[in-house]
Amino acid sequence: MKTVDNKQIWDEYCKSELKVITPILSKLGFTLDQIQVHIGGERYLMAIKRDVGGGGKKLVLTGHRNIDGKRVIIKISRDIAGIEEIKHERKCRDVLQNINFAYRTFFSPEELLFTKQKSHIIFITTYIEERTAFLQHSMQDQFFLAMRAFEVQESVHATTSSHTKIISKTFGLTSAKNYLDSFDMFESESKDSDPNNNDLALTFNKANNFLHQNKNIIEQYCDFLTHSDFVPHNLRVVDRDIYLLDYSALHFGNKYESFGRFSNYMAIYNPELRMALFDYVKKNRGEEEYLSLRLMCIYKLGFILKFHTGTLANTAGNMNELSKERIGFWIHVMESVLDDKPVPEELVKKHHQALSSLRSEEEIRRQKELKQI
Amino acid sequence: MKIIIATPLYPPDIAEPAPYVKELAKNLRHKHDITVVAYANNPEKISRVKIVAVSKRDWLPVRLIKYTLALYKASKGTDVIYVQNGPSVDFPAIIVGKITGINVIIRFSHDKAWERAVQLRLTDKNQEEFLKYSNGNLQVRLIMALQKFAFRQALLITAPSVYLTTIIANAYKIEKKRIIVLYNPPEKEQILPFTSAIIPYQILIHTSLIKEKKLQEIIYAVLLLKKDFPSTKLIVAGIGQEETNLKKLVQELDLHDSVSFIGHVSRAESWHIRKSSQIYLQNPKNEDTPCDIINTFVAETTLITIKNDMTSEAVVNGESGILTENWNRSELVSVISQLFKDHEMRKKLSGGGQRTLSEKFSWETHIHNLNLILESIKK
Repeated sequence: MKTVDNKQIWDEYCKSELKVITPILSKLGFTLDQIQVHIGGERYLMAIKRDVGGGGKKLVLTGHRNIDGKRVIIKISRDIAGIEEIKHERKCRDVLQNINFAYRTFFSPEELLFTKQKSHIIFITTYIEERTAFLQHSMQDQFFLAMRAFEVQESVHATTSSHTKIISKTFGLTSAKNYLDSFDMFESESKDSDPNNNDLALTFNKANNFLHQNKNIIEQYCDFLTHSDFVPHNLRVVDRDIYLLDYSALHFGNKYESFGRFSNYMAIYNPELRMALFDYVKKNRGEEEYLSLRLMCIYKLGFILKFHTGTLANTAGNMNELSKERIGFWIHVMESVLDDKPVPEELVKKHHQALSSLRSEEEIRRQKELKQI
Repeated sequence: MKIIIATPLYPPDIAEPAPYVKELAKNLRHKHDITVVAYANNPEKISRVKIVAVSKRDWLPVRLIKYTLALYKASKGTDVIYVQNGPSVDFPAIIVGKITGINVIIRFSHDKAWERAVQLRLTDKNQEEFLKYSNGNLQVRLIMALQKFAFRQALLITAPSVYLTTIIANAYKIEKKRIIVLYNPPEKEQILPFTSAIIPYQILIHTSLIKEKKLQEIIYAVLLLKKDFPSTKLIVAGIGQEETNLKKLVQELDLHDSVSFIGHVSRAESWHIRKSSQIYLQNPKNEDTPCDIINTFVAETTLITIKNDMTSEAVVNGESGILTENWNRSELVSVISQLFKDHEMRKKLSGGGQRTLSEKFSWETHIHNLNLILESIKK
C-alpha cells in the first residue's frame, strides 16, 4: 500500500472523525481551529507507531474554549488503543505530580476537561503559548534548558520496593534486557523492510554487538525517569518553566534514553548543541555515563531506522526518496556515534537540502507551525 | 587501615552522599584498604575498591537485615566503619560495631529527619531551625529517634562546621567532645562548553524564596544601586512561596529589566551564573550555607553574607568575603557600591577565598584531617 493510499486513509479518518467530533465539542463549549497542524503533513506516517506509551489512533487537535477564547489542545479517540493511550497519559501526569521521591517535576498544562461522550474519550488541556520556540533560544539557553530538563528526570530515581510498587503500575520499568530485546527487533524488522541495504545491515550488526557488550552499563543507569520522545515539539518553554506535553512517553529506564532521543534530533536541528551536550557529559559525568549516552543514542537510532525502513513499502515518489535519504542519513549518524566522532557538517547540510526539496508543501507548513524550520 | 564506608546512596545515584563517597573512596584507596557497603542495584565501580551492593528492592525490614549481614560479613579485619549518616546505615553499623567491637564514626552532612520533612513538605524551616523546634509526622520522629540512638552509640560524629557541632549536641543530647569538625570538600567544578565571562555589575542570589529571607531588601537595594550604577542586574535563582510577591514588587518598582527570576537551575547553569556574576549574595538562612560559601570560593566570585557563627567560620571579613551586620537595603547598597568600584578589593577577596579553599575546604585537607581522625582511634 503506497503513500497515496495511506495518506488517503488517514485523511479520510481525520475527516470522518472531525465531522463527528465537531458538534460534540461545540456542545461542550469548544471550537476547533480551521487549520489543524497536528494531523497534516507526514503525521499519517506516525499514527500508531510509538515505542512507549501505547500506540492507538487518536487525534491531537487545537481549538479554543468559547466562553473566554482560551486556546486549548484536544486529544480525542474512539479507538480502543487510542483511548487507553489518552487515559494512560492522564494517569501518568497525576502520579508524577504526587510521587514523594520526585524532588522536582515538570509543569504540565492545566486540565480543563476529561470526559466520555458516546464512544469518544476527550481530554482537553490548556494550550501553552510559547513566545520563543526552543530552537529560537540562544545556544547557551538551549543547553541550560536541556540540562535542567534532564536533571529533573534523573532526580526521579526509583530504587526501593515502595518506589517500584508506585511506578511500575503506571509507568513501566525498562531493563537492559528489554532494551536489547527491542533493539534486536529494530534490527530484524529494518533488515526485512530494506533487505538489499548492506550499509544498514553492517551498521546494525556493529551497533547490536556494541549494545550487547555493554549491557552492564545500560543496566547501571536504569530505574530513572526517562522520556522516550524528548524533543522540542513535546515541550513548551514559557519564561523558564518547562512544560511537558506528552506524559504517556514517560517510563522508568536508562536515564540517557531521553538524552539520546534529544541528541539524535539535534543532529539535524542543532549539531552544535548536540556536541556541547556530549562534551558536557564526557567531561563532567565520567566515562561510564558518556558510554551510556552513546548506547542510548544508538538504541534510539535503531528505532528511527526501523520506523523509516518500515515506510519504504508504503511510500512512493518523493516520499519514498525522502525515506531512503533519511535511512542513509541515520545510518551515518549511527556510525558516527559508534566511532565516537561528530557527524560531518556536509552530511547534515546535504540532508537539510534533501528535506527541503523532497518534503510536501503541507509538511513544510506543519514543520514551520511546529517551529522546527 | 582497613576501612568500611557504609552509605545509603552510591553512584549512579546522584543525591548526596553518593558523589562524595565515590570521590572519598578514590582518595583513600592509595593509603587504605577500602570497602564500600552501599544500598545499590548496579553500583559504579572503582579500581582497588571493593563495592558490596545490597539491593534496595526488598521490603524495608528485609533490606535492613540484608544490609546488616553484608556489613558484618565485610567487617572481618576492619579497623573502622565510616558511616554516611542515614538511618538505614547508622542502625546496621551500630549493631555490627557492637557485635564485632569495631569503631563506628558517623559523618553528619545533613539531618535526615529534616531532609525527610522537607521532602514531605512538612516544614519550610532550614535545618538549624528545624532541629531547634522540630516537628513532623510519625516517620520524621522515628528517624530522629533512630538518629539519636545511633549518634549516642557511635564513637565519634564528624560535622561539617563548628556551628553545627553545637546544633547537633543540643538537638540529640550528645557530648560535644564526641563531635569533631571535618569540613566538607568542594563539589567538582563544572566544565562547560562555553566560557563564563564576568558580567560587570551582575549580582546573584541563589536561595529558596521564602518570607523569612527578606529578599525584598535586595530588590530595593538594586533600585538604589541603579542611580550610580545603571547597569546593575540582579539574578534570583531558586523557587518558593514568595516568588509572586517579589515579582510584583519588581513590577511596582519598574525593575523588570534589572531583576531576573530564573527559578530552579541545573548544576551547569548554577556554576555558570555564579562564575559570571561579579557579586554573590549569600543568605545564611540557606539550606546549605557551608556548601554555598565553598562553591562561591571555587567560582572566585566576590562573596557578601551576614555575619553569624556559621558564616564567620568560613569567611574572614575583608579577606575572603564581606560579612555585613544586617541584611537591609542601606547596608547592602553601601557594601555593593564599594565593591563595584574597587576592582582590587574584589581581587583580594577572591584570592582570599581561594586560600581558604586550599587551607580548609580542599579534598587534600579533608583527607588529611580524616586520616588524622582515623589514626587517633586506631586500636
